[in-house]
Amino acid sequence: MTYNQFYNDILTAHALHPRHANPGATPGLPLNPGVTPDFGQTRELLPGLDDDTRREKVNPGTTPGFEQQAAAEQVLTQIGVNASCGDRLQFWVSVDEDKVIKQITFAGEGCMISRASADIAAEILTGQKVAGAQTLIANFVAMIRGAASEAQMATLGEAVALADIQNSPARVKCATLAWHTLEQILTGVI
Amino acid sequence: MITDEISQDFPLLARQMELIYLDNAATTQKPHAVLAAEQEWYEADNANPARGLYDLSERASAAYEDARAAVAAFLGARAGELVFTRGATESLNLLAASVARAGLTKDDTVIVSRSSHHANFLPWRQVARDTEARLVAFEPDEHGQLTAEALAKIIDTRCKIVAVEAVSNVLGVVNDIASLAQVAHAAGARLVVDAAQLVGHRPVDFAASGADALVFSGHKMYGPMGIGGVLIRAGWQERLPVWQQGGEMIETVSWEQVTYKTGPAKWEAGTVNAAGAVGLAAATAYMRQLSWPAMVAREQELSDYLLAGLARVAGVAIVGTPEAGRRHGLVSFNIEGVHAHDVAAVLASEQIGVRAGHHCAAPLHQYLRIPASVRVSLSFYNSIGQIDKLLDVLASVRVRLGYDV
Repeated sequence: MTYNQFYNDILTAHALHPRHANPGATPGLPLNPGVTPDFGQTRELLPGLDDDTRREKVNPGTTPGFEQQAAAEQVLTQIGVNASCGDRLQFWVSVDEDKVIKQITFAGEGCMISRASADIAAEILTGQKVAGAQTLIANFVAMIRGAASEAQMATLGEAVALADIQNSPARVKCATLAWHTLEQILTGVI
Repeated sequence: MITDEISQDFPLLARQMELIYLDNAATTQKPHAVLAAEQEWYEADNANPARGLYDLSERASAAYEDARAAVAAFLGARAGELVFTRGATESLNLLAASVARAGLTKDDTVIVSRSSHHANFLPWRQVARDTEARLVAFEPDEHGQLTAEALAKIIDTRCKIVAVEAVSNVLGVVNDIASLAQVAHAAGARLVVDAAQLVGHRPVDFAASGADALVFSGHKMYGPMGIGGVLIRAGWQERLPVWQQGGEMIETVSWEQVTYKTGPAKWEAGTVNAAGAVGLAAATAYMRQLSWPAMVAREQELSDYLLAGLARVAGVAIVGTPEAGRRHGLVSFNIEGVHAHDVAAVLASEQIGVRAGHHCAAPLHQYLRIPASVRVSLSFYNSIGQIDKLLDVLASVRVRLGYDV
């Protein structure tokens, strides 16, 4: 396996020149703006209830990058973390009253694969209805597991540029971080 | 003098000549002598040590105790001070659990270095939480060093334990254990040293070190996986209560009462890893035969060459001090704008194995405000040619990944 199997042009273009990066957000910003991480303290977190992965609704008017989306019915945000490698990406998703995804943005730290995958996910899922987006996420995860049918692959557009990751088990979690985080955000849409 | 030919002593390296193995801080490769000793144990001496009364079992017991004496001597300790464990992680869990049982209270303090490996940080953090003892972080200075001055500022007589590493597995900086021991002892505290990254790279003299306990892993010093140990100073060992209980660590057992063995045996419940101990002893014999001056000179030469080379690669930021004199052949760094995992992936495509991530030292990376780093860690069996190849590939990483140079 060589790096260029999955560090292809589509992947590097999305990683280096993302279209959906949130310009107003600080990488690694905690969910509660105004509170900077205190590295002098050790927080006790309940298993599975890490603050980092808490989902919350935010006020579109005060969310960076969402000023023009004030009409959206809801904006949800969540941070996805790959604890073992330090990937930490925050996503914001706005959904209108018809449950159509109007905008997805992200910010944070991560390797090229996780950032490219985030940008591609934002690209592909924007404009989808929530249910349709959930299907596409399932198709993507199937592809990364090497279990996608041709019909599923056909729905994934540019995301097929990440298909080779299935041959690199250590990088699977990089590729799926965005999709799993967005999946969790979408379960919070009401 | 050690030359590039030394890699022929290591079957894996001899078989995979293309591989450039630069992840020696994670585990070292094993010389033929170690593999042969383990095999010979199973073919000639395998019985459960300290149990049977027949010849084979007595031979097994003797081989195990000979291994203990050899490994202890290699580390400047007496055989009675060496408890065999699975490795540094089990050793630190043993110490933390035993110290807690010995009576850690909410009036006590445990000081742990910020640059600790999780294996040192987490057991102490846990017993501090369990006993409500105060957990205090010991911050490295701007060079990444744990200094006696900094320790003196945070320690007082409530401190029971100071837990540090001899060499940080991220920073590669060598800490002066003797000076830290002086400060700890002046406050009445015990000094626990994680020497996992020191053993196998520099001589260890436990007797002279001042440490009250010192832990290590055999697999990081050319020995097998699953064997390592903890040296506990005589005088403290007797006062620490037992940890795991089971076969062979007892003197007498009745329904009403138990008395325990003394010395290392009281810590070695159940069947021991005798083959591992024999293999580890063979590793120490192998290193003795190479000699410390030769091993240290070779690693220093490679380490100086690596640091000088990294300084010439555009965009490389070394974590911790770049001063060669303060550190081992273990260097963590980042390339500007590139995530550590992407750097490692490019290196992997050229058969170069390095570690990328937080190296089981997440609090240190948070403290340094970097998400991850790339770590190159050397052994005497690496070569200048391999480092040249590493430097060439590193210089091309940004271009290969599509960045504007």
